[in-house]
Amino acid sequence: MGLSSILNTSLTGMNFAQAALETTSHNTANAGVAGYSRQIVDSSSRPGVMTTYGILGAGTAITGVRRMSDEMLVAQYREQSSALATYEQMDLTLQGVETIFGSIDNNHLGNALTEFFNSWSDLASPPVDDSLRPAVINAGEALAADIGSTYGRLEELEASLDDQIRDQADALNGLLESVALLNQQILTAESNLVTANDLRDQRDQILQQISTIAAVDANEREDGTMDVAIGGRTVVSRGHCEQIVTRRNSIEGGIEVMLGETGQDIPISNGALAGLIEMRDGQVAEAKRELDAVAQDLIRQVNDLHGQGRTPGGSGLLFFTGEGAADIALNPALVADPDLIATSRSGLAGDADLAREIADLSIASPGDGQSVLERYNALIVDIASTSSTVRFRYESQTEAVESVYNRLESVRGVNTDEEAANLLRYQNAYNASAQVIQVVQEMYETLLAMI
Amino acid sequence: MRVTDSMMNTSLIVQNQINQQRMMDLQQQATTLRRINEYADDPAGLGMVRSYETLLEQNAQYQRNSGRARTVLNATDAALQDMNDVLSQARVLAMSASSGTATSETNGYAVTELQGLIDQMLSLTNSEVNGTYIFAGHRSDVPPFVVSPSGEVVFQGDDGQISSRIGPSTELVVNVPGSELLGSSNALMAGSTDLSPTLAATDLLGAIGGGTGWTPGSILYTDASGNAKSVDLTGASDLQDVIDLLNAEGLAATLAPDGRGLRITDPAGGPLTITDPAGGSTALSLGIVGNSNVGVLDGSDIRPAPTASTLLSDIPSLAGNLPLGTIIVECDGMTATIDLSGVATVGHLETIFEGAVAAYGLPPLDLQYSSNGLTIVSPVSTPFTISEAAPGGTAAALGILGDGAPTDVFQVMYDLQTALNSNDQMGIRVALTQLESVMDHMNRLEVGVGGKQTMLDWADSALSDRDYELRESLSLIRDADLTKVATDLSQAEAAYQASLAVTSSLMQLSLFNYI
Repeated sequence: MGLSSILNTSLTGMNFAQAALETTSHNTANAGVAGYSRQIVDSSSRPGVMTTYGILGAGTAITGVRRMSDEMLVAQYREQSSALATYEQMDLTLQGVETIFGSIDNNHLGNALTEFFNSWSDLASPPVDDSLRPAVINAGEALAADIGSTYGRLEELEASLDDQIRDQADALNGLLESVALLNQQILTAESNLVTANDLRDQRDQILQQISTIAAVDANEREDGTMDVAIGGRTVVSRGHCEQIVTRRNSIEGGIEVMLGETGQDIPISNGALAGLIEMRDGQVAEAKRELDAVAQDLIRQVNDLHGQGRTPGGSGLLFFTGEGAADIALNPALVADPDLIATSRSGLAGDADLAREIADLSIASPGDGQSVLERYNALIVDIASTSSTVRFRYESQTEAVESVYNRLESVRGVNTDEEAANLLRYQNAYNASAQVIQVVQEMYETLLAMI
Repeated sequence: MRVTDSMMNTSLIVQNQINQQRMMDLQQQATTLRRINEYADDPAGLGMVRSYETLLEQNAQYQRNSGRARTVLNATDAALQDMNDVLSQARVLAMSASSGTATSETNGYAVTELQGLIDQMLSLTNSEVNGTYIFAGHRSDVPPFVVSPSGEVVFQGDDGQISSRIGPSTELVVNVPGSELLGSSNALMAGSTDLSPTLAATDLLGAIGGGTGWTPGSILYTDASGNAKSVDLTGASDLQDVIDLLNAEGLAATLAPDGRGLRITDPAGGPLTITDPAGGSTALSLGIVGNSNVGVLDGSDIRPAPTASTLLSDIPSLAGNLPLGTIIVECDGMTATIDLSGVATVGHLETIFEGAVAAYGLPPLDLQYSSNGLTIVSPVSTPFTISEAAPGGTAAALGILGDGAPTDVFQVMYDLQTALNSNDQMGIRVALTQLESVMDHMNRLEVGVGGKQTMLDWADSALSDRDYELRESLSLIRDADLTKVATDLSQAEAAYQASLAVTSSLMQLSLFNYI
């Protein structure tokens, strides 16, 4: 007990105020940093010494610097972000598909189909006019070219999705390595019983990035390291991480994600990677398949009828060549000589039974199935329905993410007004402690003057 | 809840984003005038837009088809009208040739004129639109009617139908195949037996010569003694009056023994000459223009036409064949056996024949009679056949043994030409009947084409109604309501401005400002 103990007590107060001010300035500095968790200085009053009067307090003890966060909310935020990334990626891809098939006012393939059948109707309509034959060739070539280029653009889109899938997998591998690295750093930093607050923030932030690529499960071990699993497969364990590879299934053609080392399959449930794979193997593949089916129907139905026809120059000719959307083209013989277009089974100039039947393919297909045009329109409506569903989910998911984010930020975010208040508060505390030291000094001076 | 800077930031940003997105949507609607700008906006609506667009395009195609079908129908209509005109002119020729005033000279002119009409008819039947022969059926690239080396017109088209699609479920046959044009007049049989009854002194002058003859006036005669005299017959009303007036002149007038005309005898033994005074035709109408060196002048046939009450026994051609027997009529696989044994008059013959044909379920054949004989006309083009039942002879006596068949328009004209060449009055009259039947047929074809033109008018108006309705439906689904968009846009702008103002004033607030 003595004046010097008062000095010590004040000093602890000043130290605490200084630490708190430093933390306040750290918080203030990081107020705008994404994923930053505010920190607070934990302190308690220091138990003093026993005197004859009882125990006298001995100032403030700093017990640690705490990071304000809620692991459950962080995990929820990751989960919801994964889903959002899925829909965002799907929405983006579907806009690409939409561009290929044409906007509301640009129904290029539908128009080409209608014009093709109309050119046949012209040819079938009395009075017979042979000068309309080249129009059928032109409409047919335009249609075949449009089907071919639309199919080609879908294939390009598919290839670009393949590239994006590979890029996302590469990015994912990089991020997983970072998590493993941070695990080691945290392990080292926390071995002397302090909490590596900012490294943990970094790790959370990287996990958040991973979750936008693929849905992730993260489990913290007691030693502070984080094990990461994707699709039920552990990909990061302490300082070790696995390579993820993507591969095209040679039989089914779909994209598979697997562990590079063991080849074990990883089911990706959400995230941009999941969205890309779902689009590539789902809607884009479906659009390709349906467009191909439309082209096959067209080739088969027109050829079946045209093949029954007779003209003075030749009989039983095909109108279209090719097997499907990829290689549909007009029979070069007809292009060279439009008089070889058969309009009737009889070959008589005034007969146009086949031309009429081909024109009628636009109304109904032979048999009970959909007509070519109906099938094409169904394809467009199918894409539009998927777009609409994805758009709706994307919008509602945005709200879900915002709500979790707000709850999380409510816990960990920095409020600068709060920090400003703290600034004043700790400044005052510091000033008060300093004032006490000055009083003690005066007391010393008083004592010394007495000597 | 603890509120943090980034929460406020995020929510301001999100809110601004929502406002901006809303403004962008509305701006897009305002600039494109479309309600649906992206597939996701309304998938079901997009599907409807796409199918309405297709239907509109198809509808426009039907309208184009209809316009072209109209050119074919108009050309067909015009050609049929012209053909009818040609046939009317031929009919006028035939009628004037069958009147008493015709001479071999006027017949010669008529033959030449008829040839012109035949040529005209040929070119009309080869009418074309855009190089397509409209009466050729499916063989529309070659002229359907050509003159064969033997001089006959031959049809080388077919009866193929040419139709035009003028609606989603409407097809209209626009052509009249040449086969129908050429040979599908009503089946017709022109009888070959002259059914005029024997002359009677009581026959009224108005009825002689098949009802075409009598011209009141005077006649001139020169007799054996060289006297040239005029006899005024104006007051005569029947043949007996004529006979009495001539007898009063000293000539001996009687009915000829064959009952077909008058016989004028000069008691002085001739020579006897009878003519008309200049400008008159009284003698001609009595069939007694001529001259006889022996003084016996037999006039030409001036028998009246048969009427319903004409007795079969008065008809010279039927002599020896009465009473009539039984005939057999076949048409379209049906057979009528008609017993004519009870028939006494011409009118009775008609009643029995038509009644029996109807009773046996045959097409209602129409039996007509004139000085030329019987004519049987079917209401349809299906041929019919009349044959004898044992013991036979009746059909032949009535001149109706054989086939009734449709008449070929060219054949009719050629027949007329032949008849004119030989001044065959009977042939001319048959051709006249046939011409009328062919004209009837043409008229029916024309009415049919007119009906199709009406259908086309109707289809056109249905198509333009449909066009309007489809555009309306399309617009309703696809297009933005501009008034609503403009109102919404100004609201969105106000909301955006407000949120910007709130943002900027909130962003400025901080406790740090007061330290």
